[in-house]
Amino acid sequence: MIKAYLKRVLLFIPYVLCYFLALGIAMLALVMYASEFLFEDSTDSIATVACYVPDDEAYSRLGIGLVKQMDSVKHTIDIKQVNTEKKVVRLVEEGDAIAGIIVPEGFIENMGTPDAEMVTVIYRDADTFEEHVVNDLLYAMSDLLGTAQASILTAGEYAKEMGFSDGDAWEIEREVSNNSFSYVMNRKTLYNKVDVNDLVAKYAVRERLTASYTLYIMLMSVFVISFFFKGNNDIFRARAKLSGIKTWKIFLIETGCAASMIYLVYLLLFICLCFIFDSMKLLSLVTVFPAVLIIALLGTGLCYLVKSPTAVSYITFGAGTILMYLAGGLIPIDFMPVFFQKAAVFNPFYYLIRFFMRSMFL
Amino acid sequence: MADPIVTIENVSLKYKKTVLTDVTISAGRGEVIGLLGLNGSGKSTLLSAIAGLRRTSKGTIKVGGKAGFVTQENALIDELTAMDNLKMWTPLSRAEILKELTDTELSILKVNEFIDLKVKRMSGGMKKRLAIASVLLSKPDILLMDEPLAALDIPAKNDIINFIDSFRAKGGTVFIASHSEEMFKHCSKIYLLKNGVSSLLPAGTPPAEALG
Repeated sequence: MIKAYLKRVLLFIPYVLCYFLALGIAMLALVMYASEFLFEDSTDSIATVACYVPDDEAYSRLGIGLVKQMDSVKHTIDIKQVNTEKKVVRLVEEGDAIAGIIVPEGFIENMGTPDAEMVTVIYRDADTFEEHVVNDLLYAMSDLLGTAQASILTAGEYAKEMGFSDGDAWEIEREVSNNSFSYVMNRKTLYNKVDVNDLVAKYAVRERLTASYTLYIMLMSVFVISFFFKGNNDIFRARAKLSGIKTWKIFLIETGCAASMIYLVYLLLFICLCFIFDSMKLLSLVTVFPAVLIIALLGTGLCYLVKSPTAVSYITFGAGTILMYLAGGLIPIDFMPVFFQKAAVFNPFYYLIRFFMRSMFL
Repeated sequence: MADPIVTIENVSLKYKKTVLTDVTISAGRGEVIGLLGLNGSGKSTLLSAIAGLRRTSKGTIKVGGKAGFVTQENALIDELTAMDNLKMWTPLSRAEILKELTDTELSILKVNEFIDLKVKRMSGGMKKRLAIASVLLSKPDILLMDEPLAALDIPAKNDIINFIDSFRAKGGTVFIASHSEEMFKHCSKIYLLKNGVSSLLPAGTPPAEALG
């Protein structure tokens, strides 16, 4: 009997391959699309803000330059620096910028002094003015350089009050200035910039999606091989009984065969994924066994309970898809309503996905 | 009649609704028992109960030997050949199986003519012959056949009827659920199943008349 089943497995492989080609490639394409969508640097939501900084305003230019590098700004605001105030006005007038910023001379140096001048923000009345965008931008710039400037001025004043000569006070100012600006310039070194692809899998949406889509493909393979199961057929069981073969033995053989076919699907997916991810773990070819066995047992058990292969297909597809969705397997759980996020912990697929992801990437 | 090999006493069976009520039948070795009834009268259910596939709600079924079940839905695996299907159930080698198919009463079924053909490419008649041969390889004492002649051409029907006669002649017991008058001519006893109740038809009663 085992020999006959092994032969059947070999004969089923073309079906499994066709299934893999159809669904596997579609799912991989979806993962790729999702990752592009989630991690693409340039998005359509970038707003252009025109900016004029006087030629001799080195601090302000420095501030704008630093702000442009800020992660929160570079993905949402395109700061277009122009060399005249008129150009700022024209860009806003023509709708090429949502707002214009004109930085006055001595903006940073005079901050907090009676001579302080305000930045001019220009916008079109007809547009919805995204005030917070411009505000955030200016706050960031003034926070960066204003704090540094304030500390330089304070240090200079204290040095003079304490009786230091002008030369010494200037040296102190210069020292504080160097320290302050070197901090401002190097503030990006305060954290490590880590590409999301290099993050450990538990934080990486792309890895999580890939793992859950892989699991989904394997789960759906039960849909394809449901016609493989014969032990659910009364007549087949009667025939087995006549030969003295117990039902549990057929169940085990069919589960084993189903597991081997599902494993083949994983193997193919693994090979494809290795071309996409550097972080795929070879060990997952072993650690994936429990998940494969659980899916095979679910499939065989379902076939024995429901009997009709067609009904098994519907149930696997329907219930499997709903459970995977609710477990965050199709759309990341973080993007789902809070209630769904809380309910997911009661879903066994939630843990299966986590286990699967760990086995693939950790 | 010698000791019965199958004794069915006051058997009732419910499956969603009552299918069999107080059915009593007995069959000895070398007997062919015909089960006559309209569609849904419980013939197939009774055969399933004898085969041990269904539990009775009441009464007892005693089977004094191995029972092989041949139905319209068969236990064959479509993607395998006839030989693979036969080898699945027996430790016999290919040569031994071929010997069985040609040198015993199984030769009537002519399975060796399509032994390497895949089941999915077989006609209904071929499948029926193969299903019987598959069951017979396990040497059953009792053969339970559900509509054995359904959808068969005349040569296939004749082959199966000849086989049943041969099986009976060797002391085998056969239960046949059928609509075919031709089949009932070969039965030793015919039971009419009407609304789940069984009654033994007097010898010589034409089946069509019994069904009303």
